[in-house]
Amino acid sequence: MTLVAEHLTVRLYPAKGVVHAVDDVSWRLHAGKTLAIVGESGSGKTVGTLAPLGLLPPGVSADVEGSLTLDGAPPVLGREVGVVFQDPPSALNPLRRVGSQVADATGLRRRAARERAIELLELVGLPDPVRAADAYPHELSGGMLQRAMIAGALAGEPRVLIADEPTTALDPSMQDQVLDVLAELQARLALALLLITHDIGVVKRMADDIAVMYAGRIVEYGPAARLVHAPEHPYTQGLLAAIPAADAAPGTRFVGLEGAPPELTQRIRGCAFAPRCPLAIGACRTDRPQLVDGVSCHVRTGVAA
Amino acid sequence: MNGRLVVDDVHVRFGDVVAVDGVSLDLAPGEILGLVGDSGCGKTTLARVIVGLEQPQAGRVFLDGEDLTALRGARRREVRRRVQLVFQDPESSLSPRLTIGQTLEEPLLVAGMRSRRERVKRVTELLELVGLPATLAGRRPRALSGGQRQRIGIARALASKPDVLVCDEPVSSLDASVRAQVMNVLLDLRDELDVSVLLIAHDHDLVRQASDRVLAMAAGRLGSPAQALQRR
Repeated sequence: MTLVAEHLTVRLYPAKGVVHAVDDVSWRLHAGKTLAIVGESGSGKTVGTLAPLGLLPPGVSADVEGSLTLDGAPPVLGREVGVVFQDPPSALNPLRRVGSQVADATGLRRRAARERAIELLELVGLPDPVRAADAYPHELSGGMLQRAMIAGALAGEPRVLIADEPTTALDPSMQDQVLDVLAELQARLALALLLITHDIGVVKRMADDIAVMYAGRIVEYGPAARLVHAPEHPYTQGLLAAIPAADAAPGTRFVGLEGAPPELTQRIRGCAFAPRCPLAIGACRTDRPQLVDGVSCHVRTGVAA
Repeated sequence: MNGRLVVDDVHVRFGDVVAVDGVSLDLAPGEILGLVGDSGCGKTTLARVIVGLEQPQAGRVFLDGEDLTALRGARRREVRRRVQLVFQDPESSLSPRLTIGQTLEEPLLVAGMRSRRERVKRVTELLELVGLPATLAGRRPRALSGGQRQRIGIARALASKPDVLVCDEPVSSLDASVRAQVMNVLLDLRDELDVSVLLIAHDHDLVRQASDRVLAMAAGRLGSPAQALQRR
């Protein structure tokens, strides 16, 4: 089983103008593996994954080019690909019991649906699944709600689970729980896990492969072990350096990148990172770099200036 | 030196919920004191008590020996000016209709700065303090990046020349690569203005790197930071 994204390009049309949200993105994900798509807000990591599945922000239309295929065919949402959305308190209906919302996703009826929902809530490690099923969302903690969301995403027995910022809305102590549940389920069900996140800590812990996105493009893509320990793209390097070290002396200055990501209202000609890049050369501003050996960077791949 | 903040046995209840349950702490002039804790632990309520947005049921807050919770009228306004809050989310705490210049002039007007020229000059100074060009004064928040907006939030808090800044999750809404810009502004301000900072956040590593001392809060009480840090 392989989920393949090929030359995905997404243009969004909000009320006014156009946003070149995703620009020629390709990756692949195999059964039992975890691919993390890492990026900051607006990098296209969420839109690039969900828009090809027909999931778009409200009030926005989109053009999607390229393809997202599961073993050669477009994946069926729910049955083949389950999605865990970010921010469970706002993704769930506050007026309906958690169990019945999970039951909706099972496609079963009445008693069978409820029984299956309770099974699923047990599968994601909720200590008292019957009580959780009968609870309203406000009666459960953020970590429990996120697990209920995972239960719902697993209802169709998908082979791929897409988790969009699964821990961002949670407290640090809850984050660990949810990641443990994801890792355990993945091993037990041989799931392919696509993790969309801005949190490098999560990525380090979970990913087999990492794709780093910046301004709608993949700037670096490869095995997690290499990318985390020997990042080559200046953006990846900056992102990793920006994590506060656990052993930094108090009062040490913070390391980060100057500036901010570009507006995507126009297609960017050269490398999108060039304006913030300490290494940028002439070619970076005029020619778009291609992904060569996992890095999309003129300086690293040695194009003449 | 000014800016010694003492919180003495503060209690806050909302109905049956105990939000802050007997917290005492001491912030020295020019110190950056970190306060970590999960959401719901009462850290934001404590911040609101310190800046006077919330009245505690019991306990007192002293600034350089003066009890902030007992002050009234003009004296209260005068002393309160010296403790300012930087909000978590610059997106929702800046008016989208005002230009950056107007936003920064407002506290100056409240403080009675009548001359427009003086105000414009001070706005430029404030922007400079947080590392932004004076040309941003004519823009609206929409035109700024998240990191720039949060620096405007800090500049606004600095407008009344406070001795204490209370920063409640100042970078949690920002992307990793721009957090450093804002954190470094806080470190610089402490060095340049000798302002004391209470830095409240849930990110332990970030707080530890910025702070001279770290306290941890859980279920309304202060605990040993070692315990809280260990759990991670």
